[in-house]
Amino acid sequence: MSPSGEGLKISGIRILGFGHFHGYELSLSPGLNLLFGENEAGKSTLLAFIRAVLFGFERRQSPQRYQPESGDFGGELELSTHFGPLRVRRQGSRRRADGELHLRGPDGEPLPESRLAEALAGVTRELFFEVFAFGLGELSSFERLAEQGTVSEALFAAGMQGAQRLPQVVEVLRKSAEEIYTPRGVKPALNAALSALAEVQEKLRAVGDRPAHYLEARAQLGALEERLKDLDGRLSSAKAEHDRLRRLEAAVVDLCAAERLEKELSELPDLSGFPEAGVSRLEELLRQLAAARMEREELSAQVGALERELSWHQKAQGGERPEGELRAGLEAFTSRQPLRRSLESRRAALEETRRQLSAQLWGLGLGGDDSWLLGLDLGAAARGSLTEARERADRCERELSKAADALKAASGIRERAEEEVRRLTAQVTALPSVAASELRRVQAALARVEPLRVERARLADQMFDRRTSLDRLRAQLLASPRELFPLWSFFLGFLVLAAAVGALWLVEPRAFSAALAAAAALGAISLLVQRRAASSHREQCRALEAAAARRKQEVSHLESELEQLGAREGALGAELASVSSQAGVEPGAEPPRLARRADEVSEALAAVSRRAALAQELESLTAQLSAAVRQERAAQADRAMAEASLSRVLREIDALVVPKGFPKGLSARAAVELWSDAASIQQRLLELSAEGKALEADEKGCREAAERLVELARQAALSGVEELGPEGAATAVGALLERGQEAKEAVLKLGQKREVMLAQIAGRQRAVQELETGVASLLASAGCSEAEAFRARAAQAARFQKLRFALRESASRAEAATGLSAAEARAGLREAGGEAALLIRLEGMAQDLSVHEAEKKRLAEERGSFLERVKAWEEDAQVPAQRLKEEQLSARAMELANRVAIERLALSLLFRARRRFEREQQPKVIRLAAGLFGELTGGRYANVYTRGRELFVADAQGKEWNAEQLSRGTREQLYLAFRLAVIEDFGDTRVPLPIIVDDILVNFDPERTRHTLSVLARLSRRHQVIAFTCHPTLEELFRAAGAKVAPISARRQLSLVSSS
Amino acid sequence: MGLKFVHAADLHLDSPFRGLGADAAAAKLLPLLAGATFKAFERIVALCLRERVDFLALSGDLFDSKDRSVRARLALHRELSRLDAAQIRTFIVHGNHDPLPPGGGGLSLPPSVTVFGATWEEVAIRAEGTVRYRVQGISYPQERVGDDLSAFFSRRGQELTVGLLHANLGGSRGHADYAPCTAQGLADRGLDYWALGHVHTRVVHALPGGSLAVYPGNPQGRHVNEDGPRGCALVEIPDQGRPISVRFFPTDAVRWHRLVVDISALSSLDGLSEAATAAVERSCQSQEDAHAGGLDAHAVRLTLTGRGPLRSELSRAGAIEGLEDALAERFAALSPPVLLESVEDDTRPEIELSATAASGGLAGALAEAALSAPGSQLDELYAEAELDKLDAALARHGLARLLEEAPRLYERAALRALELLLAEEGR
Repeated sequence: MSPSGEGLKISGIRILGFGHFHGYELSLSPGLNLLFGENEAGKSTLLAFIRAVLFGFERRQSPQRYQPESGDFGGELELSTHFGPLRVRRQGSRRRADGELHLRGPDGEPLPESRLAEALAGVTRELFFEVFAFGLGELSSFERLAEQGTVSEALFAAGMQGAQRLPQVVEVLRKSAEEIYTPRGVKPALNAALSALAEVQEKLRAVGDRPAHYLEARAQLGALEERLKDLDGRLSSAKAEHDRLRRLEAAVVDLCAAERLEKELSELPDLSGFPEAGVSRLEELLRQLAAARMEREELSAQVGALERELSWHQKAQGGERPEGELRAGLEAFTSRQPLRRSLESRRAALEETRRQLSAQLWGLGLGGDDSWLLGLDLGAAARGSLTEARERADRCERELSKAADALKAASGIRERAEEEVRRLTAQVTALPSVAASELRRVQAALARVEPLRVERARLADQMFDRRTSLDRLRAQLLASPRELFPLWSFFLGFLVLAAAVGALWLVEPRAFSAALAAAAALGAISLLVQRRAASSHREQCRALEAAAARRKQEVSHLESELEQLGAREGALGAELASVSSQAGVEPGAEPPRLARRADEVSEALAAVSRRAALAQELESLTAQLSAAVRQERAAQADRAMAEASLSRVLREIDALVVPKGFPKGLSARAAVELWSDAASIQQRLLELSAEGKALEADEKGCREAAERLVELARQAALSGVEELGPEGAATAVGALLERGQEAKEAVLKLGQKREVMLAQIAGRQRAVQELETGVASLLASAGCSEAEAFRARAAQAARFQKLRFALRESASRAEAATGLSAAEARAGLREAGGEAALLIRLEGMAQDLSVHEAEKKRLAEERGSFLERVKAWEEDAQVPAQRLKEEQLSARAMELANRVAIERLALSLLFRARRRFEREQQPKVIRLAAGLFGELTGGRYANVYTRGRELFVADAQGKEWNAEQLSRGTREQLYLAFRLAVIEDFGDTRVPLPIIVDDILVNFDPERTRHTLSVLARLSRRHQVIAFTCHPTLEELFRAAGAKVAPISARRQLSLVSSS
Repeated sequence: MGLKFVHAADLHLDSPFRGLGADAAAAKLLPLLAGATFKAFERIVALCLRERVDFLALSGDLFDSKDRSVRARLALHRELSRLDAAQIRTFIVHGNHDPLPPGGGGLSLPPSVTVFGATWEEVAIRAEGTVRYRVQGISYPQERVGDDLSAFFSRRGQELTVGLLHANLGGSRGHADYAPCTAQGLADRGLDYWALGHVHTRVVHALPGGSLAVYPGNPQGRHVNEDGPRGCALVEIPDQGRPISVRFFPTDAVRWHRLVVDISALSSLDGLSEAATAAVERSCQSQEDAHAGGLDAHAVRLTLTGRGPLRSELSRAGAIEGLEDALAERFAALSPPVLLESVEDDTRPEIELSATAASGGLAGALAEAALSAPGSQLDELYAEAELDKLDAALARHGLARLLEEAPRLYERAALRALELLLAEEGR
């Protein structure tokens, strides 16, 4: 933004309602203005109004707000700016304490709010209030201005590009930096992050060197395990010893008892060998001996009685009879008894059979009887010859009938063949006999005729074409080129024209000259046209000549072609004639005729091929016929042979059977049947005679057996046998035999019984001997010879056993208790120093054990806790989580630190830039201020400078004063000079803004007031100056300086209201 | 028979990621991030097993003492036991973050692990009666070591010799200048390969004489300054000793990205959001493609640059935070998830600096400052803004000094002041 001469000017004020102003209007000059009014006329209100319209109303509670109790609040300023007129209107609003701002352009068009700031060249509210529009109060408070950083910055940076926002930017950066970090803060983000980080790090520090602790714990754990193992070893050995002693202690009573028993036992003889249960065994043996002896005596008595009975039986049986013979006789008889009973019926059956056979023989009609038949040789050899003859006869008959069948079949075949041959011969003779090659030649010639004809026709067409073209060309050649406009026609035209002109002249002499001219012109044109036509005609003639030459060439070419075609046509005619004669048609024959001829020829060809096929078939049939004749003849020969064989066989059969008395001329089958019947009867007759013989033998045997039985019975002195007959004798003999058998069995039984008893007696005897030996050995085993002594010894042995048992019991109890053998246990007890010492040792050991156990428990607990700790460390998630948190916080802290660093560096850069500005820019302001201060004080002071933040002035002689040391008026002049310097500088670098001062000259003496007025008048050439005063003297002075003076009064205000 | 080994350094097992917010999106990804250093180490061990190397060299800073992590020790023990089972040796030196614990440590590592002590040591590995190779190393006895430890090293035989050292070669910026050494100094020791640690960015220094000094970088980036692929080196030294092949293998499970989005062509926050998402997806996808092991997640810092209509919208209070929240949620839903570390506003106001500077006045002075390097006046400014005091406060909490960032801060401060100053001046 470049400095502009056209600075901001306020051209009019319009108040709707502000303080006590209502509907107030005021116009201002662009230069020096004085607004004059009495106290409370509203000077300060007007200053406040200008400030409020430009920068917003004061806060609602502020006394500087000037809000009327009722009615409109606000008003507008008419501004002239470097970009044109601007109407700024600000009105009170419920929503905005600083009021609603409306900007309008010269034509009343609304403009954005930013145009106002632009018009004010970005001057801040503070700067404007302090420097551009101020009253006496502000003027005297420059110290505050210099002290307050922001305003100071604004003051010094007022004219510097980009510096308008410096205070805000500095504030923003400072705030932002402090939000992130303050060196001693707690809340800012970085402080919080750092303290959280410290906390985490503290926690991690507290954890210490975890791996070292872990490894140490592992090592300790190892040592602990080692100790535990050692302790376990010791504990188990101590426990074993304690256990051993405790067992010994438990066995003490038994061990003592055993000792006592051993002593008692040693006083007794060793009776361990005394038989077990000796006395009872002896008594038992003695009892068994007595019983055995008694039984033996009883058995002897029974045997005596038995022997007596036996001798009686043997005596009673007496003499022996021929029992065997008798029995054999009886058996022979009884066995033949059924045979004997069947003899009668068998005989009758025999007779019957014989009669039947005789009848059969007679039935055969051979004319002989039984004995003749029996004498006849009907043996197997003779029968075999007959059967063989019969078979041959059968074969001959079969062959005969076969031969007859073959003959019949052969005759049938032959007849059919003959019939076929006849039919074919007839067919063959019916067909013509022409050579096939001849026909094919004719066919080929026929096929050639048509193409030849077509070719000739095509040639004729071509020749016709050529001839036509030739004629046309010749005609063209003869025609000469036509003249388009012959010259004579023009002359004729002229003549006609001349005649017409002449005629016109005669009829209308006035128009003659015109007609003549027209005719002349026409003639000239015609001549011109003719010329042009003639030249084009000449060109045409040349072209036509060239065409004629070309055509002549073409004619000669066509003529030669025609000649060639004529020759070809002649050749084709000759070929056609020869082919037609070959085909058997006239040369000019039409296509239908040719087609008919072709059909005839192809039919003839078919007939020829059919005849050839038939001849072939006939030939094969003739061969078949001769074969059939041959077969027929062979069949006839076979039949004759079969008939001869048959009659020969029949003769043979006759030779066989006639000598046997069989009728002559029997058929083979009848002969054989007759033969077999006779043979079977013969066989049965033979069997019958054999059976008759057997019957006779049986009758004889039965008779002899009966006689023998009767004889035997008689010998056995059985009475009345003869009366009884053979059956009765048999019954008597049977009874006799039965009685004898019974007696024999009784004797046998008694004998057996005696044998048994004798055996029993022997057994008893052996038992008695064994028992006696037993008793003796028992006594011997106890070293006694008598039972009494044995019994006494037995009592002693029982005592011995009892002691031994008691001893064993004690020993085994001791063993069970100690797990040692009795001897070892006793040795142990002795080693332990006896019972009392043992008890003392036991007690000591029990105490030791409990101490060890407690130690073990403690170590195990310790190990458990170590294990737990080690495991916890191994699976630790807390430390990694803390580490992660540490890294996260570090990252966050670094990010924040970067941000705060940027903000702070930005601040530093700004300060640095400001310092540079102050260094470069401030001297200008101070120089200006020094000049102005000199002017204001009429040259009393020549220099102004700063040292740090302090202001110093020096007079023309170089004497310097601190600003504080100056009188109030002079100090106010110094501060005014500073303000005006800044305003000038701002005008130089940015935009000239109005200077608004409210009664600032109060403390100035008249001379300095004049000086001040002249300064203001000078400045008003660039800056609009609006001064308020209530001093009438000043009004004159301002008027003298060329100011527009306007009074501020309620009257004016009222008149305005009334006039509006 | 040549030598083949894996060289890794600066594992920083169980160290947390730096710069993560405490928001929900970050919390969701925490388990992934917490396991990343372990996973990277597992991948190193897997590489050793797969390549059947002779040994694994770990050049310091295996873990961070300040992490107080027992899990780190346990993981170290577990992984080295896997190598032990496969008969692969491990050589370890301690660095500034994990100096030798007083009393020797008591890590009770498997027998195939050699931990070098606070005095220089050499281990000669024999095979079939002859020395196959030699490994030398020295550990930090405490955090700060100002001496050039490389001076203790020297070649002791013709066999291939590898030196393990945690050191700052050539005064690398951004890393504490511990055990400072020079390329010439290392070359003079005559070793075949220097397995270095401390500098987190992968560098291969070809030393005079043909040997190599290698920083494999850390296997897992833990903050935005550790962006791009992170891993270990697979070193193969042939019989004659040269040329040495050094192949890099990425092992990181979470990858860091610094992405820049220019706002000059963008007109709305939605457009910015889209552009940012596209940039993130593009970058993550390209990194995914090049990573064999697969990445579990990505972490991104988004820097907005350029001048454009969005600048004023972004400079409103809370605008960046709002954008951050929206993008963080959006990125966390990608697959694999993307963690938004922060959105950095480096956009420029629409101010013609040179014109403003030429126009003079306060604004001109500030524009001049924004345009020029601060030079000597920076220190004065720094003191004037009392940033030295702030630095001291930060240092008390173990945080970095702002001084290192001062030039950048200076420029941004100048722009900030200028922008505020000109904000409503109708320019």
